[in-house]
Amino acid sequence: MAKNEVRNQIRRLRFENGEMTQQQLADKAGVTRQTIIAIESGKYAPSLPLAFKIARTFGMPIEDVFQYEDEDSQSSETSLYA
Amino acid sequence: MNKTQKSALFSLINFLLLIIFSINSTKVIRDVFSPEGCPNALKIVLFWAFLIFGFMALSAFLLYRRKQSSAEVESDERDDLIKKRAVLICFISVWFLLITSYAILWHIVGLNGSIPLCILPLIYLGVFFAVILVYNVAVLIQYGWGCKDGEK
Repeated sequence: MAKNEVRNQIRRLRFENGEMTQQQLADKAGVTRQTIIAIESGKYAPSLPLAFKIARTFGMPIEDVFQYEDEDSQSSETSLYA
Repeated sequence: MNKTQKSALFSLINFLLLIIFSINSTKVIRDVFSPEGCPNALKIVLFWAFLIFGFMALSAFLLYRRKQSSAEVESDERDDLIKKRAVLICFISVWFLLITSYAILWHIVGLNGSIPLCILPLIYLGVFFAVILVYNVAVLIQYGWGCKDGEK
């Protein structure tokens, strides 16, 4: 079975945005701090509306904040460049 | 810890305290009706009452504390998902426990045997308590016991 994973750049973006705390980001996105922690560590994949809210908080397009990766796409990319 | 997690933890502790109290109280009641009596019965009951009500008051105080900021939310989509999954686990547990208890009874008394009428309400009561326990444990496990908090 292919392993699907949503990677994110939230941690890096928080520090680039004036060292924003998890609580500040949570307040802006309308979620709890625990949810931000879970998203940052990759334990929870947010819903599409929440992903958009987080991306808008950083003023960036969603694909700059979240990246979807699965084994199939990785292997096809590898074979393309081989 | 957020409100849902705290609430599950406090209800679990209260529930366990109540179970210990119930076991203790049956012992006290048995001693009271024994020829020797139980001179410390009142003290034991008061100790447990203070312990349980004290913990309940502490739980309420910690649960309904003032928010750090007006924008702070109490629950979000992840909490709803966790609660929904816990309810699903409870639903499965109810069926599992009921079927298991009926199967055990059937095994004990046989196909043509009979059981006292009070057994059925006791089974439902037991399942009800077990479901409360399962719900709180399911919520806490999904949150990872709160020990996986990252840096602020």
